[in-house]
Amino acid sequence: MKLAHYQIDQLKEYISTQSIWYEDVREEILDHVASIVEEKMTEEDVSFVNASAEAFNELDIHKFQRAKLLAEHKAVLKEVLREMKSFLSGTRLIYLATLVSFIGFIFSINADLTQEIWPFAMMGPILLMVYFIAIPTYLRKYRVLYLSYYFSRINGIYLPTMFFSSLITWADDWLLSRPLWCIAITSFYFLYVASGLLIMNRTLKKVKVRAAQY
Amino acid sequence: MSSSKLIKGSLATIILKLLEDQEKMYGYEITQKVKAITAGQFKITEGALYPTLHKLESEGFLTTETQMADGRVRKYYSLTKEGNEEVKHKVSELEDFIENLQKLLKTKLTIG
Repeated sequence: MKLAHYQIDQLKEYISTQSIWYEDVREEILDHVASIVEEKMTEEDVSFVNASAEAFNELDIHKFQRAKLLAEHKAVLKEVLREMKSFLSGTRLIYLATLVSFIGFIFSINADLTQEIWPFAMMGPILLMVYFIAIPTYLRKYRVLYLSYYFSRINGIYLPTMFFSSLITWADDWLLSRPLWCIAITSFYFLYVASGLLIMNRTLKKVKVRAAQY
Repeated sequence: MSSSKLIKGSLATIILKLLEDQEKMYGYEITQKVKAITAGQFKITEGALYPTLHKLESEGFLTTETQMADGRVRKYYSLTKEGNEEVKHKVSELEDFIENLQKLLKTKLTIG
């Protein structure tokens, strides 16, 4: 027995009143609960209301959301490290070598120039990253802040980037007097940012595909 | 120890194996498949299933796609290339474990 659209809407309405913030989490809960209700109505011959009550009693939807968010946040850090590791081989190694060489070149030409461009170098990547928050949020049809996988990637990538940037800016005198350390740490920072931007780009594409489907 | 606790330890392996045999499945379908294969002896709760699915996805062993089905959005899980390799490793590990467990349970201990 398949549920009618109004019955699915009733389940959707109930889930939306239960502080389940993320749309992808709501969709998965709805599909699971609806499947249980269909089975109960078919095999146990219970009413839609009773089957729904039993289904929601069996499934702790708040625990579901918490577990999903925790898994997504853990996934982000692993994904960033995998992306960074991919720059250590193949054609991407050329990009990494170019980055390190460019940073080394900036340090080698003029100490004053390095001091001048230092703040822009640190803030620039953060401004680039704002693109992945500002544009999709402005284009409301994507509803990115209501998707657990997008929101967790924003948290997992942007917060460490801002932390690193603040740390590097705070220790700029120490770093600028030690070129090798500075090149190594800033290369790592830019590699982290580049990996984060690639991941956010892929995630935004996934969101656009999803928005096009529904 | 109840059988549900015993199942929980091998749930990742069960899910990976099922997805190896079937191209893609959604969460409820996995619970029903396990119930059908084991004639109701094994019941996977949602509280155990979905955290495991999300964990396998976060580790890169599963990928997901969503489709409209029966008037709602359905999320299907399928194995990635890494997932296909992990299945063999996990199944082999579990088989070794069962073999050693059988040896232990059949062993008669003597004193002195």
